[in-house]
Amino acid sequence: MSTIIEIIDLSKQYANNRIKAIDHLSLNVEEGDIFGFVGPNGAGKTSTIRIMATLLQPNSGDILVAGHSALKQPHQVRKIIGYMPDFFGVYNDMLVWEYLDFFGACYNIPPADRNGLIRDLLELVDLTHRRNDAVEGLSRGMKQRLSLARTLIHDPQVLILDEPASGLDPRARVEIRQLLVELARMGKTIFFSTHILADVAEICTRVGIIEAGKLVAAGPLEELQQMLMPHRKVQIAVLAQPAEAMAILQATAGILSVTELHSNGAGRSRYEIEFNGDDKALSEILSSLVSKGVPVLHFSEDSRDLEEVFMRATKGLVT
Amino acid sequence: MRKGKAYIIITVYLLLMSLLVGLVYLGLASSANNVGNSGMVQTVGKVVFGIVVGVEMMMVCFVAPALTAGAISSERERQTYDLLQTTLLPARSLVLGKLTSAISFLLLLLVVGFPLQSLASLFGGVAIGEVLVAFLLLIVTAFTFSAIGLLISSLMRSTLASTVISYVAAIIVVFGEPTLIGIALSFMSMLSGLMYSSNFTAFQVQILETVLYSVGYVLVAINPLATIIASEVMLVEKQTLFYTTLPMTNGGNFPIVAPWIAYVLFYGFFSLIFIWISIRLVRRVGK
Repeated sequence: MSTIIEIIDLSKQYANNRIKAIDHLSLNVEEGDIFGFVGPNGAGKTSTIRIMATLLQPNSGDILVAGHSALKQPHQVRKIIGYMPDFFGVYNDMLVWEYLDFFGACYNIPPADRNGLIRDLLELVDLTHRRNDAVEGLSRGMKQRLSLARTLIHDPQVLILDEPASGLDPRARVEIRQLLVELARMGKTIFFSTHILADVAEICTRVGIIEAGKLVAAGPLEELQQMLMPHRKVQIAVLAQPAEAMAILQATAGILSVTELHSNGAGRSRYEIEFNGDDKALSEILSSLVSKGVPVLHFSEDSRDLEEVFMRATKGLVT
Repeated sequence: MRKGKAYIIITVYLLLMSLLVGLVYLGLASSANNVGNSGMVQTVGKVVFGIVVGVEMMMVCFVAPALTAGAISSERERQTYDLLQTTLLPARSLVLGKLTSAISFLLLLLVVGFPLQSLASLFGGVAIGEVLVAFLLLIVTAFTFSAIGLLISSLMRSTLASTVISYVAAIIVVFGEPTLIGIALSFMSMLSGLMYSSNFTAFQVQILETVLYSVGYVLVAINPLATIIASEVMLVEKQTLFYTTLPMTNGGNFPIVAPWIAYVLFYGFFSLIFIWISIRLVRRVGK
């Protein structure tokens, strides 16, 4: 895989603010990645995205998208990216298909090709049944899906999405997530900012954590977890034989502590282990329990891990 | 302009103008006993034509800013500006597209007024040259006032502020300049009185007259209504639409081209400058 987005020593300071919104940020995104750009509010996510989308000038540094400078070759970059801001810009009295047709014209797509393209895009975002409805009348989730269809109208290589799931209800969030996975399967590179950590855990192949304009951590989620949280927390529930389970766990190399969270007195017990090891070593613990006849009911890494990764990486600074 | 708004505007505009022309016609007809007099009929034709063109000129001056004052600022307000900027749409196309849309609508308003103008031709007294010059002045004015609105819209973030400033600019051009003309005329009469009562040399008088004529000419040529009236006066009194002379005290002549020519060149040039600046402003990347 080759690097498709290269953020090079990027800095941005707004005229009315003494503190830098972005402070010497460098980051690479590989082709085909679903890259989650995570950070607290005011961390510099939107500023970075706006520079990438050729809408804002940095004070120093540059962003290369497929080798083209966002600063010096904005027209080339615009051909490659599909940008979705964190708000939905709407024209009054415009119908759903007209909205896509209008932006298709803005991307110089010939009128003869637009009809089929609009049909395919509406099908992709599941809005075919709303084709002739006014854009104003759509729900927020539908508007977000329409917005995503708009970013795809010129078949861009890279999608740059600013808080795509922000303000959506749980169902709409899941739908957007599924769409992003589908788009990644279609070969798109997706760079999206978010502060919803569940989205990151669910779909991202790589993550970058930004705070006070500085990149504090970047890489695949598992690597970040290992780097920032050497001790993984795993919850295990067994149906019976709690004593055997406890003995196996305590004897396993890499397990630092075993805590019994709950026991019903009839054998059914729940434990939390702190474990220092990779995924292979973790799977071996499960094999060991099962091979020794312990009826395992539940075995999973704590989902709150990502929040802990985030908390450990950031210091709560806001510019 | 969807949902029939344009139809309503056109209907109201035509009704008001028809009413005005009808009232003027009735007024002239009732005051003139000699209906068969061809000179009188021609005067009616000229008056009807003058009123239609005058109303159209006022309409263009005050509708054009309304059409363009929100052109760019409203894109910012409805948060579509960023979306457009990240497409392949050049700033030039965006600005010229907005301008074309405004001028097309103004052109439509002018075209629907043709039947009323043709009433004047029915009475006679209006030459084809007059009709063409009037139409050219209306088009250039539409272009200019649309360009002013567009420039202010490119500068401002709020459509309300942009509309207010555009209208202030329109009011200054339409009504501010006649005030200046009035002041200049009283100053000129005062100065000419002074010239004849003082011991100025013939050369000094010539210089002063040249300055006064020049200032007066510029003031006339930069106001839409003054330009129309002055061009019409020139046509009636000097029988020309292009070039004439004004008498000077020393027996010489002060040459002038018709004010409408200067008006077209002056506003045509500044409109192009305004549009060029608007394109530069729209092209600008956020800092």
